[in-house]
Amino acid sequence: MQKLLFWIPQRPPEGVAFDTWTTVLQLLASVAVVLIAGGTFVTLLIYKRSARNLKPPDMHSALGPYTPMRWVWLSLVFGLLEMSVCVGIYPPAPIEGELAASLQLGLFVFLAVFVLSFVGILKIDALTPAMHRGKRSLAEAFRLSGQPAKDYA
Amino acid sequence: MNTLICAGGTGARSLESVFHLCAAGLGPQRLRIFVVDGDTSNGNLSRASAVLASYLDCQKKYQDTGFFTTEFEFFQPSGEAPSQEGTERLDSWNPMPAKSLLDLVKNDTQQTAAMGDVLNLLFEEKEQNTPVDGGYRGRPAIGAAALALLKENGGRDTQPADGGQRLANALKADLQGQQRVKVFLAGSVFGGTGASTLYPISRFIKEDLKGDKATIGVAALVPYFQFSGDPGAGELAAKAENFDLATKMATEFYTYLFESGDWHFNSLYWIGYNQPRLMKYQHWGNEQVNPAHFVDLLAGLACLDFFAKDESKDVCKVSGLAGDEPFITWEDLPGYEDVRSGLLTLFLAGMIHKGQIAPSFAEMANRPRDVYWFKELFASRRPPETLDSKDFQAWDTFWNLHEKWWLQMQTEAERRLKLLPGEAAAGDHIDYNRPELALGRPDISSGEVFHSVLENMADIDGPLRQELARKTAPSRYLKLLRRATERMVNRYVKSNRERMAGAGAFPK
Repeated sequence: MQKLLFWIPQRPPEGVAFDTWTTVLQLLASVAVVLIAGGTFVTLLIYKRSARNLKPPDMHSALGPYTPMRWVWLSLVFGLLEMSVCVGIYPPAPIEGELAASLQLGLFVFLAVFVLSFVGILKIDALTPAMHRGKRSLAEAFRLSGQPAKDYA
Repeated sequence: MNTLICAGGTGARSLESVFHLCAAGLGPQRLRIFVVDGDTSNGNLSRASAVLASYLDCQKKYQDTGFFTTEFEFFQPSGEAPSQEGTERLDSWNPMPAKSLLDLVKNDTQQTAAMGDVLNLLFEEKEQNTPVDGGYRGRPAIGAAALALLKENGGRDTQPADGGQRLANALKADLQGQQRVKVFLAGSVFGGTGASTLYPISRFIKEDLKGDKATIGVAALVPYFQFSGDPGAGELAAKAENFDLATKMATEFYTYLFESGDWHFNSLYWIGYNQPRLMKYQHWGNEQVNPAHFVDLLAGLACLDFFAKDESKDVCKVSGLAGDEPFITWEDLPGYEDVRSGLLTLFLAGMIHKGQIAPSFAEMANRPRDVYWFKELFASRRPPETLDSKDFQAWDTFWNLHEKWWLQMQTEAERRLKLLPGEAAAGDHIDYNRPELALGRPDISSGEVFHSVLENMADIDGPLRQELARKTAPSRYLKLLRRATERMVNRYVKSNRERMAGAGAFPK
């Protein structure tokens, strides 16, 4: 499992026992896997619900922003969670190493959830009502301004 | 072949209803139209002509959309050059080959003296001299006298340009063929032209054309309007005060025909309304343009009912409105489920197109991915296609006429008519922002209706995609829109009567 964190040195930092380091890496990798899988699942679930509830009441709204795509940014939360876990379980070591590892792991989980969610939204048609399928794009995820269509659910 | 013969102003209004019903896809596959009216410039006929011209234009431009499905065969005025698109005119046949009844007898040189005596016996001098180019002025006897010559005129081939002759030739050809021959006549029994036409023409078909295999149906309309003004004192014209008497005489006449065995009708539809609409008196000619009425729609439905059914035995149907119930709803119409679905589908498609989609054509072209059906069926084609308002001018013209037809009928809404709720279409406008009202569903939001249309338009499965790919862009769009609105109508429309009863409008 720890091979998942391939860019983190397998050798423990100075003052940390090898077994402890291995256990920490395995734990961090496991948490990352859970957060990536769970995060992607949760993101897709919320996206699906949001897309289904998005019912443009008029043509102007239909041509407006596609707000459900913004849910891919939920991956940031899972990245932060991974960072928190990392800070919590990181063994006593120089603070620079702990911060660097936390940022790297957080970024890794964030990117993984973001990419997997985005690809899932693009590829799994069942998640998106047919009328919205043309609008699934990265541009819509970055389109943070605009009045969303009224939710009739 | 199906043939519809409309007589007089009432017949012309029934014909207009038939056009609107056929536009909704409710008509037969093919229909021949023939108009009988001494008043060839009748305003009601001009309006029906305008609807037909617009219908034909749409049929040509938007093929196989599910709308405008009936192919019409009709006669244009003799000697008229082939019409340009959208300018076709219906010919109106004047059975009276003379300016007045007296002239008619004078023309018949062999029998002038004898016929003159008969004329003096049966008609007042005023009736004999009254010009009949404006119709028969509520005097069916005048028209009946002219139509007595139908056998003579119809049997000859010397006047190919004559409308009656053209009809006779067409019916003769039908009767010699293998297909079933159905003829439907529509007209009032309380005016002049209709009352004088229905029986003579049916007799002519059965006896003179030897049309035993022809099935003949009639929509006999009894008074459903009255005049608020009066023609000038002493003027020979249709007068509301005579309507009831004329109707009584007509029913007695038809009873006599039935009892005496001189009965040529296979189906007879008596259609009326017990609260006649008050209308301003209008002279003949272009001035005679009466607003569309619910009874015209009933006459149109009677016509379609007759052509749709393969009945070999004779039937007599009575369609009217009982005085006990406060509202006229879709359930009061014969075959209401199909009629409701067809008419509401057309109405909703028109509303959604004009109110929502058409104004966004340009924006859709700029943001093609935002509307899935547009992206898939238009923008992603090679070369990419767009939708342009110019391509829908024919549709817009028809829709304006259709809208007006509904609004004129809906003036009854103040009292009883509840086909489209009064809030959706009344007075002089349709509220394009409230399609849910047109569906009779104020409990749902307009947004939900529109969203539902978009959702159904995006549901493009494989076979449909292939079918649509072969059509022109406007036809592709209209077919998709029709399918979506039809689904929506079938999903949302419940029995108005049930819902009204639920709301305490009247007892269950």
